[in-house]
Amino acid sequence: MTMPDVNPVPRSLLLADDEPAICRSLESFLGGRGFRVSAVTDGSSALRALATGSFDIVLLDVNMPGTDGVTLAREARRHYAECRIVLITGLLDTERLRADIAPLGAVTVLSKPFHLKDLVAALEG
Amino acid sequence: MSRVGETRERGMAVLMTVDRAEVDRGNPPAGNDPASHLRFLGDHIPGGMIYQLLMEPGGGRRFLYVSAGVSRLHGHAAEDVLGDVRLLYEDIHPGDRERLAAAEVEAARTMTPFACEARVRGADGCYRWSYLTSEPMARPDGAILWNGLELDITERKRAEGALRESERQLNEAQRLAGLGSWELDLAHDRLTWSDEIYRFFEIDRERFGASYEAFLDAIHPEDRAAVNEAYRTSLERMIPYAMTHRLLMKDGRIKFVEERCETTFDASGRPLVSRGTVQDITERKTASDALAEALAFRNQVIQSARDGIIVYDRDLRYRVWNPAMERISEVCAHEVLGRRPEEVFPFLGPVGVLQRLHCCLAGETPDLIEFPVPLPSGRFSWATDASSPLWDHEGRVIGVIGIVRETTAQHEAEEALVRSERLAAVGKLASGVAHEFNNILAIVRIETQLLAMDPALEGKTTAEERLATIEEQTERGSRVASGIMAIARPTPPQLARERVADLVDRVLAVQRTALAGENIEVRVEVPGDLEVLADGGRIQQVLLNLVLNARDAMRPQGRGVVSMAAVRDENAREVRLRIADSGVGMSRDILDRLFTPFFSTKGAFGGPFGSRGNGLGLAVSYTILQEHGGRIAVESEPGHGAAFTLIFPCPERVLGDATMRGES
Repeated sequence: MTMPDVNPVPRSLLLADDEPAICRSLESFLGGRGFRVSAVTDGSSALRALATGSFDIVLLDVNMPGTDGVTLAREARRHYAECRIVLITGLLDTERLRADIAPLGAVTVLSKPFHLKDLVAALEG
Repeated sequence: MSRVGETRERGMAVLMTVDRAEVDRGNPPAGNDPASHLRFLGDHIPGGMIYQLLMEPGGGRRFLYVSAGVSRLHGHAAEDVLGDVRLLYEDIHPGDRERLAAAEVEAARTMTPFACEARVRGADGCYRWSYLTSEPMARPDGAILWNGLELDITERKRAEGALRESERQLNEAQRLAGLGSWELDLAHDRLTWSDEIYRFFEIDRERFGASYEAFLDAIHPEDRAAVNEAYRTSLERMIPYAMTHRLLMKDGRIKFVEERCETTFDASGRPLVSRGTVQDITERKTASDALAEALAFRNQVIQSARDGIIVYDRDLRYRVWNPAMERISEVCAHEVLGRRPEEVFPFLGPVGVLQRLHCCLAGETPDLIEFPVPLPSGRFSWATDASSPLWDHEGRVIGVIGIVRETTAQHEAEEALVRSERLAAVGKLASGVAHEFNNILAIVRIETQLLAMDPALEGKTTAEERLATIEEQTERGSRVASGIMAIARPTPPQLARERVADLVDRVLAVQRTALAGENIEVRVEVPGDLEVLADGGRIQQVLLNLVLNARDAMRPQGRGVVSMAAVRDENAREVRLRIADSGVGMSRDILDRLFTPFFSTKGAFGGPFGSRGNGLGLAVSYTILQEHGGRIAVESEPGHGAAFTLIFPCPERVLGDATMRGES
């Protein structure tokens, strides 16, 4: 399995997923690919991070207790107009989701289980 | 033979001189002597007598002659009467004397005969009716000679009286019956009407006579042709006729009459006399019209109703089966009327309708019932039946009235709704399962991809750790699968008498240390003898689930109390086991979705072991309590902890019900 080269310029990334195993693995994987990753496992922590930190990319799980991914994406767009937004979801039917995020401009949606190559492509554009 | 004297007067005067003794009463005279014949004739006038009376200028009067009939009529001998005129005058009824005297005076004045009827005392002393007539003749000396005749008319008077009485009675009877009669003498073209006909036609008898024109005029114009035709046909075919027609009065009122007529014919078939009766049946007709109208209206209501209407008599035989019933049942009225429900519709017994009909006969009004109706076409429809007793005006139950409404459409709509709700629930469940598995697969996929990568890129995590994660997720998938199965296809629990205290102890035995390690105090208040019928393993699973939930709810505070208390509610015949915590509590919004599969709040406070709720714990717990004939109640407020109560039916209740069902 091959992957694109590591990012030459480290970019800050907020990762929020209530699956600890996903959080843990992606944090380690993306960290190894040159991202500065802040990982949280619930919506409220993600909100706090958005309010205090500064992110080039947000990678959000859609279904999370507390604050869901769509709300977080709206919040992210409010804070960082230019940031890249990637949503990951285990839902089969994403039609409603796509309608909800349409006003947010360019947002990439990845369905679980996704391939890491696709994730990297979405994050790096 | 008698000696007859000479006279210058008329023949009758000749008899004056007749010797009464010589009168032969039995045999007519044999010779040609006219005087003998006249005398014989005078003595044999049937029921009568003749006489000659002389009224002198001075006013004195005496009989010159009376025939032998005087003894039959008055009981006086002729000789006596000839000697004393008063004998006969005194026989006249005092009430009639004046009238008779007046007639005599008038006749004497005008010298014309008089005639009158008067009551006269007879031989037996009783009054009888006589016809008296006499012609005055003036004599040169100024005296008046009266030649008179008296006839006994008692029989005629009686017959007349009887006739008058019978006519009076007939008229009265006709008046009472509203019946008039008429007679048309065709040979002489003479029409007679009884009083009642004048009254019906409202024609003044004194001013107008009976006429066919008046009759036709009274008939309602629309009925005239039919009446004419009926009469004509009856003459033509020589048969009587009867018909009802209307009369139109001058003021626009309408009367109904029933006309009957019969005609007699001569030998050659020529009509002689038509006789008929006319009866005023307006009142009867109005009453019967009103009745017919009421019946017709009742029928229209029954026939037009959109709901089925059934009427049963006291023997529960069908009396009414309206078209709506025919439509609902697909069975025609003629197939059910007069028969009993169980004969026609055997299914009515099992669905409970028959029993309700008997309740109605007992005067009760049972609740509405809905039941499936098997149709002759093989289809099924649904219907509701609202039956009630049919009371008569004296408060007796004379049958049952049933209103049947077809509810197939509503029933199908309800079923469709239930089906769609079930589908929606299945859809939600499926989507929850898919989401859960996609998360598991995502983890597995990430780990396998990372394992396959260059170790330099996979970070600090070792291959063993990644494999362990994959193993963990496989376990998790398996748990989700069995949870789904528990909800989707519950298997009957293996019930046994279990002490509640034992169930609680077994759960706490494995959790007490861990709870203590998290600063959680456990308080137990369970009576030692309290029992429930339970599948021990499953109830312990529920208890463990609730204890772990309580622990998770108290984690943010870092300490707390879990209390487990059981009581027996004798009224409700229930055993309640309450598990309360002092944790963060829940909002209304969360409470509403608490038992929904895949609903979880656990992500927010995920445990140190990476465990998170799969959203099935409470859903499965709820299913388990339902399998036990019980339920779970929950109370909570944000910040004030939560309490879950497991509610079991008392063991005696469960066993009692089972015994009643004939189970061991």
